[in-house]
Amino acid sequence: MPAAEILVEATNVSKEYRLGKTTIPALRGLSLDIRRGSFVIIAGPSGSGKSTLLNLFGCLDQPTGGSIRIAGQDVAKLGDAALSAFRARRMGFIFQSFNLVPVLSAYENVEYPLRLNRVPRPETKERTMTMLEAVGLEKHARHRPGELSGGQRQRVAIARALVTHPDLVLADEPTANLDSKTGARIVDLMHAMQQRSGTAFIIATHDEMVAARAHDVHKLHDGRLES
Amino acid sequence: MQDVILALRNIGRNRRRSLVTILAVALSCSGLALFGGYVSWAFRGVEEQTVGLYGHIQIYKKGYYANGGGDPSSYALANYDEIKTLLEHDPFIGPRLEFVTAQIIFNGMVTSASTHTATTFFGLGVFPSDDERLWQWNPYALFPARNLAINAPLFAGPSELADNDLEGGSLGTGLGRILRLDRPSEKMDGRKDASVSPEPVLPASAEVDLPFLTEQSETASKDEGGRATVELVCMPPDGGVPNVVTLGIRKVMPRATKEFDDQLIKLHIRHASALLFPGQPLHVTTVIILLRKSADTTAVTERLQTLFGEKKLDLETKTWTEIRPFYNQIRRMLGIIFVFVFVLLAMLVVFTIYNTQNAGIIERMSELGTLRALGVNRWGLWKILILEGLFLGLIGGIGGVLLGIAGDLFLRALEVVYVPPGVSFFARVEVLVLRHPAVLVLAFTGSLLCALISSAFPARRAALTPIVEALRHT
Repeated sequence: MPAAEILVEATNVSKEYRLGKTTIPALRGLSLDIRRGSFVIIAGPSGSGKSTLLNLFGCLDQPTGGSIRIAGQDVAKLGDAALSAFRARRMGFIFQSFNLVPVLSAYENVEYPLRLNRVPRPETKERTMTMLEAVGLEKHARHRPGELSGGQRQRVAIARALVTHPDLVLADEPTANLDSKTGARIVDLMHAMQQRSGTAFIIATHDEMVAARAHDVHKLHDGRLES
Repeated sequence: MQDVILALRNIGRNRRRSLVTILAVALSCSGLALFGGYVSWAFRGVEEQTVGLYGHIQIYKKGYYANGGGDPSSYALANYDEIKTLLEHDPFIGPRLEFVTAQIIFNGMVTSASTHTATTFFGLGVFPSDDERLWQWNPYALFPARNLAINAPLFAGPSELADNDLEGGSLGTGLGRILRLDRPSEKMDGRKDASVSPEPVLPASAEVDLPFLTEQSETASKDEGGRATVELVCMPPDGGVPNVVTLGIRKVMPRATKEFDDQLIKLHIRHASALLFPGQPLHVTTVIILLRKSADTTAVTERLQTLFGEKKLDLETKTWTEIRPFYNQIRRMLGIIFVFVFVLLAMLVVFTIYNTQNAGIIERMSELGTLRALGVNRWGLWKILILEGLFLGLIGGIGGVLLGIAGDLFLRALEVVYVPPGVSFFARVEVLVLRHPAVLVLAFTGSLLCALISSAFPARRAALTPIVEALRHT
């Protein structure tokens, strides 16, 4: 694979957690490359290390061993401020529990990452409304998360993840809290958005329906890749 | 701006908890403002009372302050007018002067020929109108005791002294009793009434029967076209036959302490001078300076010392705080109490806001983790949480300022009175919140500072919590 096409390059990554005197390995020497614009599924049973891997790719945690390069940047070398800015510019997140800010409206939730990136106000407004239209929630812009259904909340989360035109969107069990019909619509939406934006999606799931939509499916078991 | 909106909306999230916190801050802030206002009133009250008695600076012949009490004649100043002119024309002191006056302080024996009684007394000779002016010094516009209805009997009737009444004076009620001037049958005629018990007739419960005594002196005046009189006896400076003058009693009124009440006689300074230095021009023991501002006391004292050195005058000075260390003592005591109250209220505010912030942060840990994931750095998150605490302090502080002002107005309407230490009349309790806004500024700033301190620790902890750990929080 040409180096320019590689967005995420994980080399011999391991992650251990300490519980008192016990060390629990979550990832064991995992190596994986993710291409730009790909739609990748990380599948595996509960406790296999999916969320841990996503957290490392999302620069939310540091590996115990190995290295992770994202867009050519060794993320271990970045301090908190630089890492935060890196996340704000290059990454989007979709969580199982939607994780919207409850005191902000749908519009303000989507707008928030643009404010963090200091995008000029007129552009912020235009991009936010475009994203809300893209996920079909322009009429719910003023609604707060508490006034939206689960599917609508997840669509707001997708809009928030993509509004900054990131290189990478990480979705951890995005359909786990939704019924199957809504879950299918969300997966369709993510796929369509990925096609439209060219943004790479890495989705951790154990949902077969989600896995069926992927370019690549990587199965994890006990912290190791199976495929 | 986004941070401000987020912080304000988060405050509104748990309204009851935020309201209780804001109320605690407001009550603490207003409590501090009101107590600060009271302390401020007490400081000013004691200052006005002290300066009203002693002036800002007193000038004596060198050695008088330490040794002259028992021998005023040796330390008397015969050049009062010269000293006064010197002070008024000095380019530094002159513009700072309110006025200059003088006193004679001496001891002697007082006898009443009409009641065949005698006792020692403590004499204070003053210029009547200057003494009145000094007593009425009220630079902080505190409510004048004279205007209180409860003090009316005290200030009713003739004044203690008058400029044109050289031989008039006033006594303490205790001294009046000792001289048996409170007994109707013995007041004027010089004969002892056999029907009256030889024991002094004291008012019920030995309390001051002010109207009775006042009536006595007034009635006496009407009775004989004059008034009750006593004789003041003093030893002359060079020994020999004692000097005697007659004092017409204009008024009998209570004094601040039992000692003064039983001993003080206030009289015209020229009459006192005539008693101590018969046939000589005016002599004084003390020159009193009243300044426009108390803050000038030190500078003027320094200038006086220089001036006395230049003019080779054998004089010494004492400031009002040196003469009456009580002011500094009470200032220190109230200062300590104020700091104590401040610390207590500050702790209340700190713990209340800390508790609110802590609970809010624990409840919202996952949300804070999300903000971090979206790209808010540690400092940014800390800032958002600090802003929340500051807004609690700000809203509570504004509420406290308004409550403090309301408390000031309420207390004014209530007209609470009491007898302050060291005086014989009632004073209206005031809290100088509106007239001394520094206490409001202090209480408000204190609220904000406490809010900042109490928010800093939970905010720091939240900012340092690893993102994945925060996201796992439910």
